[in-house]
This record gives sequence, structure tokens and C-alpha cells, in this order.
Amino acid sequence: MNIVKKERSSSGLPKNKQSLNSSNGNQAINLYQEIPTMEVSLDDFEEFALDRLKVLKRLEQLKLRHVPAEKHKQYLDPLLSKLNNPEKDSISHFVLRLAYCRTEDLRRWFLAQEVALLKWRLGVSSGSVKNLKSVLPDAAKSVSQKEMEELDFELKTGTVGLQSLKLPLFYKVPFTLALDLVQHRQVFIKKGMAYIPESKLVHLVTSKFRAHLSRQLVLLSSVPTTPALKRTQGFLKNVATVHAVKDEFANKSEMAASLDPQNVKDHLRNMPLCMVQLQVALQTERHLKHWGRLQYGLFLKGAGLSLEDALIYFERMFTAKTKDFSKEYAYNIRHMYGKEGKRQNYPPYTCTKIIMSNAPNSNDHHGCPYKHNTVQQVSTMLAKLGISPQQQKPIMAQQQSGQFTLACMEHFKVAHPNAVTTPNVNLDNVGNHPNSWFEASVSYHKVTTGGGDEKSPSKTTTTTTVMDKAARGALKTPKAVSP
Amino acid sequence: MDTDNHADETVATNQSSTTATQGAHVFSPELLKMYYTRLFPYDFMHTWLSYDPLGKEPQLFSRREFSFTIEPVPGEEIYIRYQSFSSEQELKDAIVKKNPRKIDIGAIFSHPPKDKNAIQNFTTTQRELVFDIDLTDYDEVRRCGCTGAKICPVCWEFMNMAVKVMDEGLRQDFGFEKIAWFYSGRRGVHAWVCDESARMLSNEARSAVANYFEVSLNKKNKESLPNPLHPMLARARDVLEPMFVESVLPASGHGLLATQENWEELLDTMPNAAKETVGERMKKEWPKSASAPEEKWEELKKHLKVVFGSTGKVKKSKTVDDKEKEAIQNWTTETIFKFTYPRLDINVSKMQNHLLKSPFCVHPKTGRVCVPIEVEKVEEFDPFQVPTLDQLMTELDSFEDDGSGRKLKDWQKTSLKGYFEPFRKQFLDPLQSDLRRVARAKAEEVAAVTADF
Repeated sequence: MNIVKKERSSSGLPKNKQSLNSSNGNQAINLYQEIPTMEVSLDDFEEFALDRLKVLKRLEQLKLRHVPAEKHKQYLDPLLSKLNNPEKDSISHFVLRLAYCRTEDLRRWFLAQEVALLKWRLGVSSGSVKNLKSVLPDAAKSVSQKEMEELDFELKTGTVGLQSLKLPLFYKVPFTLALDLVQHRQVFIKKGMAYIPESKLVHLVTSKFRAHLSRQLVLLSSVPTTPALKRTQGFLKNVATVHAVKDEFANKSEMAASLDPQNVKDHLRNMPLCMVQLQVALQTERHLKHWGRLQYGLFLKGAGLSLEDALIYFERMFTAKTKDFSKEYAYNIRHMYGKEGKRQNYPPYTCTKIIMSNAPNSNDHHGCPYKHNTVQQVSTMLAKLGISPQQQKPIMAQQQSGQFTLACMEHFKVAHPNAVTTPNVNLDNVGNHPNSWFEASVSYHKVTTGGGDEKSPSKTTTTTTVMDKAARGALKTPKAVSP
Repeated sequence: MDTDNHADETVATNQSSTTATQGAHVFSPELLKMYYTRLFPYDFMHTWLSYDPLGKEPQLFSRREFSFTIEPVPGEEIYIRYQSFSSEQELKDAIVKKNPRKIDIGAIFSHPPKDKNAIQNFTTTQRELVFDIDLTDYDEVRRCGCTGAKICPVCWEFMNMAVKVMDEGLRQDFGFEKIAWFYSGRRGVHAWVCDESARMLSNEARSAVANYFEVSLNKKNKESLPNPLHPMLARARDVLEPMFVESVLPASGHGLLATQENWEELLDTMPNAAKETVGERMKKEWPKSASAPEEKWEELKKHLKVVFGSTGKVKKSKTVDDKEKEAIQNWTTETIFKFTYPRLDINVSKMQNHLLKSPFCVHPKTGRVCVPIEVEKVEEFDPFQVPTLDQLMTELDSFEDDGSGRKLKDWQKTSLKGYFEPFRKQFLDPLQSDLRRVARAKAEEVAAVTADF
């Protein structure tokens, strides 16, 4: 690919300039085996790359935030439509290769997102197996009817995940092209050929693509910069490190809880115990230590609190030991929102992360209460939330058997009776992610209180009162201190 | 670089009871020198590792890594890696001169390994796909009294079973044909898969093949078998079950169903629903019955099938859910596998650049030669019959020429003949003729193309 310093109008992609941003649904799937050889203006070079980067970042967010698959389309389509032109798609891929080949971390990130994109595209066009066949390895041969009959038993017992008794179409490929399937004994293999059911063909394509791209990225990383590429160096460096894309998605909570500095504490009823603990500590101690700030700050970010509001909120709350908030903590909060330092837009912590990392010390408030606090302490906290000893039983039972996330789910069930049958409440990741707990709780209360938002019901006030009491009582609760 | 023999060293202390013929007299630097000078089959090694029947491309041999373990002072081992030799004579000269206690073979590299430091992109290019199976990994199921490096004819049966299952699997599933099996000299076996397609496999592909064959059966990390069984596992079960019945169940083997204590222990490993019904019943009946262990096994399987099989009695019962029923149906296979399925040291197989002890060298602890094993006659292979160095010396001394005037190689005058000749006939000659055929076809193709111009 040659980069020319011309205005886009004079060069760009002359052939199908007009279709650059047009939607072209039947695009063949590109595995980027060939480097494009046309001329590209510097402007296009950069713009295309950024457009693709938006798609890749969105894919990453969808995964990190456990967005259910059926909603992916609505989030991806607007961004993907910009890559519909095949040449633009190809150029943007190769530009990002240049940008993301430089370190192991960048390569791994790029590889993961590109594979996710390919999977998405193959899945989207699953109606058209034609597309898929065009990218199958040459060595893939369809299995004849006669052979299928001869191998009926082997194919039935050797293929994992067959849906019906009737065999689907099979393809056979050298086993080296289906290593993942072979090593987990997911498919039948005979004389070095792996027999792949139609439903797993996608896998062949993605694993081949992954292997190829991985190799290419490593090779590319050791290629010295040519004079022609010099002009793009600054851009390539930045594109990989700076968050060029404003991440609307990460800051906009799906159920639009519209958190603001005034109503954060009203949302206590929507928070799992770990966040209740942090909010209560914040209210009583007027300060949070580093890991507490991170865990709670990122949670609020994920719940929809904007950066500006977060700065206001924490400034208002941090009255103890704080002389100059903007000097001491503002950087910290801006950092969480990806505005400082390495400019990474950190995702809110998952339950696994909270449970597994950074166990709290005795005067910390972060962590998972079910894991890091004693049963008595959890029971006291729950009681303050108005949960009776009887209701606490299933929660305690899970905590005692070391099932921390299940304990948290039990808490959700107790606090949200009939949530399972309540419409529009997505319980999928409750117990895996505090933000899912929060979102499910918000949508639950929306439905059960008749669509009113957080300001409406008197119930909120009651909860708040309970919370304030809890906040006051919390100081008296001894933290894990060994006798 | 780790090899199986390093592990050998660490368990060297309890080997004295292995056989009656061990000790300093089976292995000494002097005996070893005699072996390397007169008996070691350099021609086999060179022919095999050259993969070059027409003698036109000597680089595969010269780029092969050899590594020697020498012991200049007793107790002080020195490990010399990245040796390479351009000819059979060079190899012989080096081995005779250095008299290594152990020889390891590594990968074929992009350049001769001895020039390694002068080369920038020094990488592996080929390597046989190798497997290492060792009786020490069977300790938890060896009930013959052996542990670690100690072996006896009863536990050696596990090696026969492993060879059969692996050889079948490599041939049928992966289509490999040029497979050579060797005794490791002490308590295990090695497989060298030498087809070109196997030699060219990437590390990822090697891992995949090794993982494909691995079934993890330790108590800690037990994988549950799929139901229905994958064809590879079904075939393994068909191969293993008769051997399991013959050599694991009876008192002459590991006695799994030979005493009340043992069968009660086994019955207690069944899933609860089966233990409480069939298990209890067997516990009551068997002490009174005089049936043989293999009859007990059949009886047990029959009862399990009647009660829990797919058309069994509990079909409509609500007390046993499908999952438990499946676990019960799998239990017999899992039991067979737990005792007999090959336990691979898969790390040896995963990397092109992993060293493995050379065939035909001598195990320093036993003095036995790492001889080829004929896979068709693996049941007949007896590790205790494998000649030791002192025995070979005696055989050479007492050999009497038959007067026919034929010139014999020294190994033909010893019991090595019984191991080396089948290796040549069944592995080396077919390997050579296949390679020759391929090379000729290639040459003709080239000739046809050039003739066109």
C-alpha cells in the first residue's frame, strides 16, 4: 500500500469513491491474506484506521460488559456500516496491523478483537454459508454421502454437540487445520483428516485466521520502518496508545439510571453488598482508600455517573483529611475515566476480580463482603438493610460454603422478590458483575414501582432512611479483627 | 532441557532391587567403550536420521542435534548440547572418543547446531513426533508392589497396553505409518513417529496430538468421559478391556477383583446409586461365590447394564437422574482406563526442541541397551531379557564362527540380533523404500518440467 500525500478528493479510492460509506450487505469476507496495493491519502489512512478502531473497541466493550448477544447488532451496526467498503475495510485492517504490532500487549489486544470481528461477520452472515465456503481452506473437502453412511457411527459418536440424530453436512480437512477441535476430541478424525460438521466450520476459519494474523504481527514487529512509513509514525504510535475514540458506550448505562451527585445514595437499594459497604463507608468516614475508590468509582462510572459528576460527587463526599481535592484526588478520578496517564478506559471490576485480587486490610472497605468479611459482619450489614434473619438464611448458607457470588445472588433474590418473573429484568450476570446487579435492580424497581424513576416513590425515602441508619451504625461494626 | 533420563537419575537409589543382575558389573566406562566401538549400530542411526535414501541431501543428518552426557570424573556429569556431525564416521569417532554415558537426540535445525552461535536465525525445522511413557506415572495403580523405577513383569503389562493403544491411534487416526518403538532401558518406552508429515508438525500441532491422546485420570483432576465415547476412546477400550481382565483383575496380576478387600474398595468407587444397589448386592454375593475375577467382572457389568443401561430397569425411575445414570454407564470404562489407559508424559511430545534419549544407547543404571520393540509382538517383549553390557561382552567372547565365510557384524554375533534385525526389516527398510519412491517421483517431475524447456 502506498501512502500519498494528496487530498482525498484527488486520490483516495477513486474506483469506488462514492460507495465509500455506502452500505453493502453482501460483502465477501476478507481474511486479509493480501496487502492492498492501491494508493491511499494520508487523511484516508488515518480516518479509516480510526473508524475500524471504533468497531474493535466497541467489540471489546460488548464483551467486557457482558452485553447479551442479541443486543450486539444495535451497538455494532452503526459503526460497522462505515467499514462496508471492501477496500476501506482492508486498508483499515492493515493500518491497524502497523499500529498494533509493536508490543506483545498490543498484538494480543488487536488479535483478540480482530478475531471477534471476524466471528461477528461470519455469524451475521450465517444465513449465507456461501460466504463461509469462500474462505474455507482449499484443503477442505465435503464428505460424500457414501462416506457419511460408512462412517455414520463414528461421526455420531465422535462429533461433540450434534443437535439432531440426522447428520449435518461434513467437511474433512487435514487435522492440522482444526487443532483446537482435535485436541479436545470435539470431532472424529481418521487417517489425519478431521471431520468437521457444518456448524463448526466457522471455527476452522477463525483458527486459521488467528494463526495467520498472529504470525504476521510478530513478523511485522521486527520489520524496520521504511522512509515511506516515517510520515505515519506519529499517528501509528498514537492510535494504539491514545484513546482516540470517545467511549460513549462505557459512560452511558443501558438502563439510563441517570446517576448524578444528588441521587447516588438513593441508589443504595440497587447496589450489591460490596458497593453498599463502600457507599456507607464513604458516608461515614468521608473518605475512601485507593482500592475502595477504584472499585466504587469504576462501579459508579459503569452505572452511569459521568466524569464531571464523579468529580463533583467525590469532592463533596471527601471532606475528611482532604485539603485540596483537585490536587489530591481529581487526577485519580480522571484516570479512572481514561483521561490521564495511559488513557485506558478501565472497565468496572467484575466479581471475579473483586474476589480474587487485593484482599482488604482491616481498615479498607473494598473487596467482596462474602469473601473478605465474617459471617457475623455480613449478617449485621444485611440486617441494617432490613433483611430479617429468616431471609438471611440462604445468603449465609452460600457464604459459609464459600459460594460468594451465589450468596450475592441470594441477596438479590431476597431484596427483589419475584425478580425472575418480572419482565425486562435481565438477571444473566447478577452474581458475576456488580453493575449487572445494579442494572437488574434498577429495571426491577422501574417495573414494580410503575415506571417511575428514582425520584418518585416514598419507598425510596424509606430505604434511604434505613441506609442512613446503616451508615451511622457502620462505624460501630468492628472490621475483621482477630482477637 | 529436560529429558526423561534426568528423571531417571533422581530415582536411581531404589533400583538395586530391580533385577538380580545389576550393579557395577553390568555398566562401566570400559564396557561402554566396547559397546560403542563394536556394537552400536551407527549405520542404522545414520541411515534413519538422514531420511535420504538416494544420498543426495545430507543436510538433514548434519543439522541434527546430538547431545552427550559425559562423566569425566565419577559423580560429575557434564551435559554437552548442540553437537552435530556431517557423516556416520564423524558420529562414530565422536561417540567412541567421548564415550558418553547417555546420548540424546534433538531436532533438525536450520543450520548445523555446532555452528549455532555464528548464526542469527537458528531455528528448528523438523523433528520426529515423540512419545514417552513411563511406569513411574502408574504408581497409584501399580499393585504389584513396584514403585518408581522398580518394575516387574506384572506392571510391565501396562507398557504393552500403552504401546498397543498409541500405535493403533497414531496409525488409524492420524495416518502415521513410520513408527518406531524403543525400550527406554529401564522402566518405560519411547515412540518415534518418523513420517514426513509428523516431522513437519508445528509445536501447536504436537500439543494438539498429545492432548488428543491424553486422558487425565488422576484422582485430583479427573475428566469425565463423554457419553457416547469418542471413537478413539471406544477403540482404546476395546483394546484394553481384555488385557485389563487378564492382567489387572486376577491375583496373578494386580488383584483388583481377587480379594474381598480389593473388590469392596473397587465397588465403593461406583456412583452412589449403583453402589447402594448393585454394589451392595455384589458385596453380599461374592464372598459366597467361587467365581473367578473375570467372571465377577462380567457379572458386575451385567448387573449394571440390567439396572442402569439405556434400556435398564431404572429407565423411568425418578431417583436416578440422567447425569448419574450416565456416570454409572461410564464407570466400567473409567475403571478400565484408570488402570490401563496410556499415561503419557506429554511435555516431551509438545516441543520440536525437546530432547529424547537416543535409541540404541545404554541405560547407565541397568546396563541394558535401548533396543527396538516389535509392535506386533509387544506382548512377547520382556525387559528382563534385554541384554546388558556384560552379557553382550560374554556373547562376543563365546561366539564361534559357523565357518560359512560370511562376514558378520559384531552385533549379529550377539542377542542384539534378535532386536536389530526386525527393526531393519520392519522399520528401516520400508522407510528407505518409501522415501526412495517419493524422491524418484519428485525427480521425475522436475525432469519432466525441465525437459519441456
